[in-house]
Amino acid sequence: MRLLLVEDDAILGDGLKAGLGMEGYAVDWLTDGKQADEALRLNCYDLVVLDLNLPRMDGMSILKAMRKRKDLTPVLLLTARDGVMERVAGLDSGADDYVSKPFDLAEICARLRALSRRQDGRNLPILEHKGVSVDPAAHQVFYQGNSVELSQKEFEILNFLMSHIGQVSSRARLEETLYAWGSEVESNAVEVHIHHLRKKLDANFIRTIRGVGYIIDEN
Amino acid sequence: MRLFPRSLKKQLLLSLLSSLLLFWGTTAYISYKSTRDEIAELFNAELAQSARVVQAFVENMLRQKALTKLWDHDKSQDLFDMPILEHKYERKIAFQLYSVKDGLVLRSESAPEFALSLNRNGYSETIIHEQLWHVFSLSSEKGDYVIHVGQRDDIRKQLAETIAGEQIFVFLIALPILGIMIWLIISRILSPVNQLKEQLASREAGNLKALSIDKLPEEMLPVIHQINSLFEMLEQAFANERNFSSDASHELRTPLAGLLTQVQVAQKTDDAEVRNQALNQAQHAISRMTHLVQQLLILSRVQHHNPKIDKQPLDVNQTLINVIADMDHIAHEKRIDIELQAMTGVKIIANPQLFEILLRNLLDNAIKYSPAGGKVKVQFQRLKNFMLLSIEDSGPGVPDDDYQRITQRFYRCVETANSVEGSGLGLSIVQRIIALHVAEISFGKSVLGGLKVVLKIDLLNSLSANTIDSVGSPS
Repeated sequence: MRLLLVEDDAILGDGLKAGLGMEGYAVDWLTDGKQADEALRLNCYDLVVLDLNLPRMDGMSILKAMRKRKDLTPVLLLTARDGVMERVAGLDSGADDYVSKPFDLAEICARLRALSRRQDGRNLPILEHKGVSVDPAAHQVFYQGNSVELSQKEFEILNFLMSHIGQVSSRARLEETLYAWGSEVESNAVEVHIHHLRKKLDANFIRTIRGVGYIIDEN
Repeated sequence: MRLFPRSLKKQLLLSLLSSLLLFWGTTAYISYKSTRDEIAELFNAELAQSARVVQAFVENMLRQKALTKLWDHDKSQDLFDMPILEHKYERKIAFQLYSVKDGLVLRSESAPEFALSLNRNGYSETIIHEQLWHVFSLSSEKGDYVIHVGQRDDIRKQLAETIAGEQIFVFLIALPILGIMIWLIISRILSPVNQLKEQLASREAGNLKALSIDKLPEEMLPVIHQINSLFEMLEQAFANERNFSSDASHELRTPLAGLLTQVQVAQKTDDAEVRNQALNQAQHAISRMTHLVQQLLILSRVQHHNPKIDKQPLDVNQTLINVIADMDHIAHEKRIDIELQAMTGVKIIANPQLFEILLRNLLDNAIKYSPAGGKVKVQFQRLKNFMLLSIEDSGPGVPDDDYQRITQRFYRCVETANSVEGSGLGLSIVQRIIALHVAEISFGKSVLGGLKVVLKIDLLNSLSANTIDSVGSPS
């Protein structure tokens, strides 16, 4: 999952980038409001974690601009103030959830998972399809009742495809969910991960559509 | 009980009623006296009148020979037949016809058998049976008889007392009615005070809205205006306090979140390098928060300082040397050169602790924002009636638009907020300390490229007279 983190505090931003990275998110971290706004216009993110108090352009304006151009990426607000009004204003401006500082890393992660679930239009925390079940919270995968050991990146690809059953995902899109800016992308990394997944699960579970991408079929 | 009750209502009622009583009492006494005199005059006139009527009657009878000069008792009996006393006052009025030759010839039943008066003409007073009588005597032209007409004094007294008594009676009835009326009028007039009392009593502690001045009498307006301006000041102080705690909590929440996140990353990770990095960051967060809390405490202390703080003559040059010496190690680490040009022997009137905090904050900023190998220049010199203390740095400076805002709590310049750590409180502390002294602060561009902070200290108010002569040349 590709995630944009906008937080101007150096220590908190660094901690969140590390913490969310450990959860498997590909995190892009920005400290400046204007830059964040531009990044959101140019890139496609699965999730946005947005601080309200930012230099040059505040979080609320970024959020409003997103919703105005019909960008429906789930946004989790970070607020440092206690006031109910700020939260109400945030939610009314199109935020999907908020967390008050200081927060627990586990809480942020749980809320982000809930946001992705809602985005995919489901409420069950566990994804199940054709004998394969994925538990995003526990990072566990079962195939026909047996636990399957997957690497972080394999898990991310499977999780993404399971969240978009019946839809073709391009190689570039999958790469985006795996790699943040600045991280080196190996040229055939996605193919390698898919290959491993096919070995660990059913060989026909993920179908390749040549020149387009990958899909998990509905039936 | 107090002699003067504290209640305005009771005071008004008591003073109004007692002055009424005094005024009325005096009036009643004077009118009693004059009534008595008037009554005396009236009765005296009546006595004289009666005497003349009796005389005319007697003369007429003498002319008709109905009454001989011999004062025949038997014959005159019919003529002077006295009817039965009919009026209660009749007993107290009497007349006598006294012949020089024969003595008492004729008298009314109420008259004694001896002469009412020894006078032959005019008014006199006689005491008969312990009663005072007023008598008018009238002699005939030939002087052969005298007519005495007398009246007991108690009639007059009784009459005057009856009149006075009626006045007292009316007043005794009127007094409570008057009291009630005065009470009602006072209550009505003072009702705005009551309304004000209720308006204040029903307020919650936090309600500092201005009191309404509708329907209030003119006399109360100054008080209400004073109360309202006090409310306004309180409201301002409370708002400041609220903003301060809200800002402070906001400023603490972010580093706290950072600390917590870093600690959790350290706990969770299996990678030793990531753990070390996270723990370093956590330690960094703690030292930053410690600094922030210290600055908050100083600001809160400075904010609650009484403007009449303890001030004393302070040697600025010496203080500057001390502060620079203290901070030298930080400057040394960054290879920053601090240059001091200060007049020696100049003392200003200031609070030593606060002035040192002020210098420390300004110098800390200058060092912090100057790049490694940069330069900081401190000058203390005289300009006419002012002493100028300037601190300049070779940092990036502050955009002109931001001069107004950099003294606001927690305000940090966008350009440097991320590259240089700070609490955003230093200049707020400086400004508050400036406000406690007779001084001004201004910001500008330094020739070194960075910010120039200038403190302008008024010599007339700040410098003691005997030290102005000892000002030496710049060192």
